[in-house]
Amino acid sequence: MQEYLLLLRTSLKIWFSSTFKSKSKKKIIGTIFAYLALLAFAVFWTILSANLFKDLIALFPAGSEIFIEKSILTVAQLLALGTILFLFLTGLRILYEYLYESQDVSFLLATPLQVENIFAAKLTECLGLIFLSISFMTLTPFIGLGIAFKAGFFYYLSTIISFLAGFVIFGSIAALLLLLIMRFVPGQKLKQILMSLTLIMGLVIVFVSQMFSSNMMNMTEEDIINALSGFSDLGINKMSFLPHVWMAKSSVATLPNSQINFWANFIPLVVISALVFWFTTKLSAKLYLSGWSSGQETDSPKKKRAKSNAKNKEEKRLSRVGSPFGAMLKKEMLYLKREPMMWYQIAVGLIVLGFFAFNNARIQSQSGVTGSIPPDFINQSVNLFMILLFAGLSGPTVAGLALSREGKNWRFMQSLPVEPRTVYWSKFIFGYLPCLLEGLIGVAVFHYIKIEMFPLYITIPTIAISLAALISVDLWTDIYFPNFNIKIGSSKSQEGAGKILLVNLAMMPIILLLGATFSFQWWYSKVGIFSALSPEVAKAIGLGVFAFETIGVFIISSTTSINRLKLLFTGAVDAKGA
Amino acid sequence: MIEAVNLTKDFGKFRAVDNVSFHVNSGELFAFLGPNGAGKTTTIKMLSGLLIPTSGEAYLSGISVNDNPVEAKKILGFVPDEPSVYDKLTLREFLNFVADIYQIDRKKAKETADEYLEIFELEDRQDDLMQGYSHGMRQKANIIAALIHDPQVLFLDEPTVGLDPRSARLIKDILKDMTKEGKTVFMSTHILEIAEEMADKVGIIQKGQLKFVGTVEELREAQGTEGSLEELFLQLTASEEDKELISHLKG
Repeated sequence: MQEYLLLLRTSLKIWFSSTFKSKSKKKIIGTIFAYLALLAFAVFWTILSANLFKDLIALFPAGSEIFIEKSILTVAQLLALGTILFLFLTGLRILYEYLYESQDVSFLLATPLQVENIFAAKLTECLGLIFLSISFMTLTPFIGLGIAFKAGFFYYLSTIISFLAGFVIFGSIAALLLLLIMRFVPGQKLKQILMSLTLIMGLVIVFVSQMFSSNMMNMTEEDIINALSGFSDLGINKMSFLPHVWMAKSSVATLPNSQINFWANFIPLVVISALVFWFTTKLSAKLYLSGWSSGQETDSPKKKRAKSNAKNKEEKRLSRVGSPFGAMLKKEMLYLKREPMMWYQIAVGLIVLGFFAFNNARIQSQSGVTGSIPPDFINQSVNLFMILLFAGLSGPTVAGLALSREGKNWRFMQSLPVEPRTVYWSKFIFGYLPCLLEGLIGVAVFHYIKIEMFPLYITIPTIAISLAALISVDLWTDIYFPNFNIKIGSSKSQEGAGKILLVNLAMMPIILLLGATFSFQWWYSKVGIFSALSPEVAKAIGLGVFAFETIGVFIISSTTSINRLKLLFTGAVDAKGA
Repeated sequence: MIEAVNLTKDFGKFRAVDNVSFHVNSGELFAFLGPNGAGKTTTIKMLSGLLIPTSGEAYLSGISVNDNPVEAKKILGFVPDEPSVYDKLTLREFLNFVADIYQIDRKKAKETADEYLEIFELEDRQDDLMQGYSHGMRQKANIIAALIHDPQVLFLDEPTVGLDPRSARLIKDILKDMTKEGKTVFMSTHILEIAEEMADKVGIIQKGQLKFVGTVEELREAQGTEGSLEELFLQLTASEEDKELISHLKG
């Protein structure tokens, strides 16, 4: 126990010094800003949840308290289940990184500390971190519920403890699974599987949330009540042996006038969580060290394939492009093909775009707009901008990290006889191609389901040019502020997330400027100096300036980026991690 | 041939390399020695065009590294101190990438790659993604990538770190062969036995200043002792306190 507490205290000290005792004031301010942003998000989410719950309560007639409780319990159980699912799938990867990839584990395992204490400390540290980071999303609806019901202090306390206990149960089970799997699967392979699982889970969440918001648009109050009673009838309330039910019931039981027995749910939850944690920790004494060693192993050589494949393999080995630019581009494209995170970004953009098109078509058909009515410039512009926005979604993650993800290879790249402009254009195409593809798919879908759009000869070039401008700005931010320490896809690399946020912020003024120019003919009449213009002239001016701006942004960001790359190549300017 | 003329590099107020000048002839293996943080890697970076000097010049076979970095890089090979490979590429794809950058003839590149893959026992792993490679395998991949275009000048920063004894021996043989072919090898190392065994010339740098350049024999003459390179190095770089400690330990 003493060892366990010592390790925890040391981890806490390290976290505190690396977060708040940095020598760089900029870093401290950045950290405080990030925490404030999270807090603001939590407050927003709490207020939104409180209002939603208040509205939900108001839907039921007076005297239906039991049904309200049943419905609220259903919602609470779904939230708890969502939290657990989220923890189980995305948390597995984080757990893996903490337990098997932490740099200090090799040192700690070589000390006389007991293996189970090292494991327990790492597990606690990791679960604490996951709990803190996802509480902003998962606990806040429960705080909102408490506000809606005017609950007392005990409600909030019991909710937090219940959630912590739930986290410990499922986190320990996930760690137990990892302990067992690590004996049989090499570390790299397991990491790929976990990464794919996490991304699939992310896609499912995006898909479900889009479907939910799409359906919510047409739901009446009656539909909501029916849906809730439908969930109640599924009988998940009756499965009282499941931990997520205990979590929800322990929380809802402490709401005013609740009929649910608090202790009957709270005690098994806490006892089981302590038992599962203890059992996993005890088992780790036998399994952790061997699993950790297996995690350090590289993939075993693949078995030699049949001779029929040999010719094919030989041809592949001879596959060359013959020029430095071709080589750079091929390298980037192979990366794009093999990095699941890139596909995830593209898939998210396509799902969101698909739902937007679907909702738009439904609204259009409901409002009776048909092809016989003259097309509306505003609708056409909005739809064009939506395609652009969704197609450009992956820009910050792909182009916005195109240079930084060279990582430690940057020094190797510097040693190659390659011109900075060659590197630039290969990186640009790497970022541009997926976005353009998304944009073209968007145009094809919009065109197919007959959503109001400009003619294709205007839409396609506008999307192609505008995306080129946006991607060149994404890339510009990375070339001016590269960070070669970023590890793509690692949950520990918070710098990556911060950088994507920075790119998104940098993009905002550009998007606003382009949007304002493109929509000039909506607002010109409200601005004194332009009010005398005829609509045709205003339209021509708007489109002309828009074209000038996009091309200008593209040229300026490309040329300045290439110049900056020249300096980076010779080490004349500093870059993080170079 | 490598020529450093008054190379100086400042990082803010800190002078990492201070007015360093030397030359290494074709066919020579130059071992660059110095304590941690002495300025070895910074010097190598300036010589190979990875870092622009605050002042001074570097030439590779007469090409100015500062003025024509791309031309200079065409004739050099570089093995960094920390192995860096592209995780999402297979080793063969990585070597093809390098061959394309240097625009090497298809047949020649394949022959060279096959030869080194066999020497370093990586043929069976050449079609695997390098993300699963161990430290030593990555180091070998970097060495092959630096050799594939048959460079005139080869820079190696701590090349034997993380390699098994057989691979370390192979590298030594390859470097000896290169110098026999008239190529120039510039290597930084902390393993003084390797430097003593292989180097035609050694350079010793401390706190950014070049303390000595010449053969080991010339170093012995300059120091007036007959000791090993290790002893000579310690004599030259140790502070008075260190010297007292060493003599005390020797009894």
